[in-house]
Amino acid sequence: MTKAMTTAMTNKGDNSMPRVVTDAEVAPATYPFEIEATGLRVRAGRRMAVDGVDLALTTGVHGLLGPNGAGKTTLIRALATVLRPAGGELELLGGAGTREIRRRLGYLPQEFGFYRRFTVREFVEYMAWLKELPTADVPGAAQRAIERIGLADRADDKLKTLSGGMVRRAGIAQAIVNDPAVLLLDEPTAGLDPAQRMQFRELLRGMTDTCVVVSTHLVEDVAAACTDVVLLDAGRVVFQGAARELAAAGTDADAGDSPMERGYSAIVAMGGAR
Amino acid sequence: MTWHASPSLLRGYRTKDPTLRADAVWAVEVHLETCADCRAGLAAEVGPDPLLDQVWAALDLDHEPAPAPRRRWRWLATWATPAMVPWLATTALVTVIAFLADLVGSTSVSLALLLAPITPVAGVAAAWARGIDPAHEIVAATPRAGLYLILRRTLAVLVVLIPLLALTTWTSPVRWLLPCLVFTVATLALGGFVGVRRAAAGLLAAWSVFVVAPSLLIASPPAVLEPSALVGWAAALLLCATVVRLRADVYMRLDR
Amino acid sequence: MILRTELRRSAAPVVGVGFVVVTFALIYGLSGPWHKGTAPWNEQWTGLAQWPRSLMMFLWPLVLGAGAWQGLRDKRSHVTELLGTTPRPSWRRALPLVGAMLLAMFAGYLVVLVVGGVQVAAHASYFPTASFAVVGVMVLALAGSVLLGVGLGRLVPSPLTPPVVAILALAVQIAAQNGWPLLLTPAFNGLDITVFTTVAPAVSLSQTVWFLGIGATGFGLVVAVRARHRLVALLPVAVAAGVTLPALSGVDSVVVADPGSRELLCDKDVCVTRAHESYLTTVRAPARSALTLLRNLPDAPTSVVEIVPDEGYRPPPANVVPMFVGLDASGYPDSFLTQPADIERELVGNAVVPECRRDGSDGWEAYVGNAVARAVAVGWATGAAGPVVDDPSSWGDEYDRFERAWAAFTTLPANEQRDRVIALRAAAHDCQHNLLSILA
Repeated sequence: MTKAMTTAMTNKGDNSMPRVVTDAEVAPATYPFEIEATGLRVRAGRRMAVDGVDLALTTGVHGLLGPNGAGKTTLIRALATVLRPAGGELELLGGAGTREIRRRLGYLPQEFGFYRRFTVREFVEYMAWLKELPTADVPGAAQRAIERIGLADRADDKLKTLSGGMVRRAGIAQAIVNDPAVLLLDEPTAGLDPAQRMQFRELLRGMTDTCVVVSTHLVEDVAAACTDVVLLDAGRVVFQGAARELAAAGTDADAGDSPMERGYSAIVAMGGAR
Repeated sequence: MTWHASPSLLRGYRTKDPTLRADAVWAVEVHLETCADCRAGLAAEVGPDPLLDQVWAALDLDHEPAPAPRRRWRWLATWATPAMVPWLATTALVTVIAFLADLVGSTSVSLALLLAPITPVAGVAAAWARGIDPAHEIVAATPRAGLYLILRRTLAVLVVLIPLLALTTWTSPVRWLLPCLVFTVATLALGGFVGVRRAAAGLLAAWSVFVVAPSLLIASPPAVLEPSALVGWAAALLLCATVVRLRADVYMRLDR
Repeated sequence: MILRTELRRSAAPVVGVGFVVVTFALIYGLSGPWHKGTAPWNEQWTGLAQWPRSLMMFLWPLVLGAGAWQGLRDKRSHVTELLGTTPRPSWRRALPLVGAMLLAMFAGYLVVLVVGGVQVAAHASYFPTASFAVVGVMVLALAGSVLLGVGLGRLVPSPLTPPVVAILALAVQIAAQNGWPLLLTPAFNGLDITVFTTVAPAVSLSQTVWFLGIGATGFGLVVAVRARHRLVALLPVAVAAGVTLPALSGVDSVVVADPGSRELLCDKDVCVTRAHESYLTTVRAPARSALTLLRNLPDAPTSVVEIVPDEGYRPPPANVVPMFVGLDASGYPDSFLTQPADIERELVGNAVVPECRRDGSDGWEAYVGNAVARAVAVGWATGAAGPVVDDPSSWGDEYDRFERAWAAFTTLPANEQRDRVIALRAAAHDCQHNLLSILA
């Protein structure tokens, strides 16, 4: 749909806020993988938390699992370009520059810090400004993002009045406000009740054009929503494949209450024996 | 690029015309990957879509939009984050306290003048420090993060503090303006190496012990704030500014 | 055991070590007044007791800020809720932390005292008992500052508290520089520190009560859990204020003369004060040689006595040569002379042209004129080849006047020179102003 046609459509109603689709957005991608890492090494403090990771992630929802201290958060931070890798290669969006990557990046860190006096809408709009969205588009983008995560009725309440789960949903809203091509979520479902987790999985399933990386401990979320699972242990990838392959890797002898958990324990134990 | 797909080719491509040869289809596809005009031409070929018309009709376009929220508060936040405000207020308070002390006391050294150069340091640290700004990590991952954002916030600090300093120190700005700027840029420069909070604390401690303490104890104005020392301050400013400019990409990452 | 943990993990070691480092950085890094005068910090017990109190002007805001930072700890670590569920009462919980901070503080101060004390013991032996009071007040002031700091940190647990508290303390210090409000702060005016005076006992007593009140309030604020307790915690400082403010505001002089330090110890004809007892060995020989030089004057001096120039000082009778150690005749700090030649020259000058206590109202001309007259007279008395000045280069162009006066003087016949010097001596004894006119 060209720009001309969209503008013609807007004249139907005076109060609409249609979104103009630019050519750049409908242009086909000239790169195969949104995230491509070769031998990636990232330092966290003095430790080499990510030690030789090879990744090639395309559109879809990828789950990132692993024990504590495996380097998941460090890997996510390196993918979010806030940590400079100590070695190896990392190419996002076909080797675009950092600013260009960040314009099409959405990031929700594990410790989501926010300004307590801001309302949800104000915070999302502030992040939209920081992501260099055109000023005219900011209100509309924020409204869309807030509606997508289901906080439309609390949009003008201050963040400090919201419960932990709602705050985290507001964090997801700011991550998707710029319709990112790469979405990095570190523990996004921490503090969400089961109904909200199901809504979150619905949201993930609706993001078909995005490369989503979800780092989580909740194995069921991974099983339900992710097309692909990456298992990280001690800074290396020990498993990469579909969720049912992970479930198939476990036997009854392994610890766990569900097939996914058993498969997870099996793979991690195998990695630890190395 | 001189070759563009003709409208007939595009039509054939769109309708999957079997008479179109495979290599022609492939050539058109490869060309469309890079040529925005031809893509627009292809899109123009597409007529009105009945599904789209239905969706437009179903949209409720006649209700009143929500009133535009207040913009001034949000615009201000792009210059000075909420995390910076308490530190700016405290610095202003400290400056006023020093001014009052000078008014009441009658020593030959002005406490306000002694503290003037280090006043912006706390504000600059609050602009880009991991522990002080709760949204630091999330802001660091945005495209505006970097030297532009940090200088913008630093400018806000200076705009607030310099007029206040001009009022509270009894001397001309010649003495403290350049040292003020030097400390601002030095906090950024040093912060790129060891983390902004540690840099700020170190600079404050060094200034207190090496300049403020001797001045107070010997009751004489410090030599570094004399007009004759301005050349040294200018050189320091140049050095720190060069360091900040050369290491500009440090401010696009997380603070150490 | 908990005390040991707190000593290692709290801000206590930082505070203790920091105190020592900053104190010695200031003492050794600056050529401040604590190296000069009659009571340098490492040469007299009086100086050792009083100079660290003068340094407190800069140190106690730091101590207060450090205490406030330590007091923030519970709130910033979000453990108040957790600790509130424990059975131990609040004051019992606070003791290890407060104890660790105080121990570190006292240890730091002890290090300063020991380092200075070792040097003083090698140098002087005069020990006024009032120094104990001065040191005691310092200890209480340190304790009070630490406690108040921690209390304020608990009261307002924001990261902004330590800098604001420190600057506020510094501002109060600056504002209270003159007059009796200075007595409410731990600092001590450096101008009042001489070996011949001690702090008035009444002042020390009032300050003890005041700092005890501050310390009690600080501790009260540390252990207070509810707002009501905090109000009760303000009571000690209010009571202390009520007692000490009337007492301190009526004080007209913080220091009183110390008679013990002024007792003269004599070795036949050379006398020094008890405070400068160790100086006797240095000064004995040059003093005797000076007396020998001067024996041809009429009314020749027979003894050299160290004199402390108080208000209204006039030169002693002609048979006594006044000697000033660490001061000049107007009572300002001066450096100690150690070379025998310098001492001899100084004593001859004091004998022939004794100085009076000047208040600076005579002006530069009279000052130079007196110095020229003295230089010429000393030159004559010692049989030197020219006018005798300590440091010719420090006079710059004015030194020409010395040489011209000497040239004019030496053209006179010998007994005319002697008469002029005798007249000069008599005029100086009467504290006349324009001595050069007598000589020329």
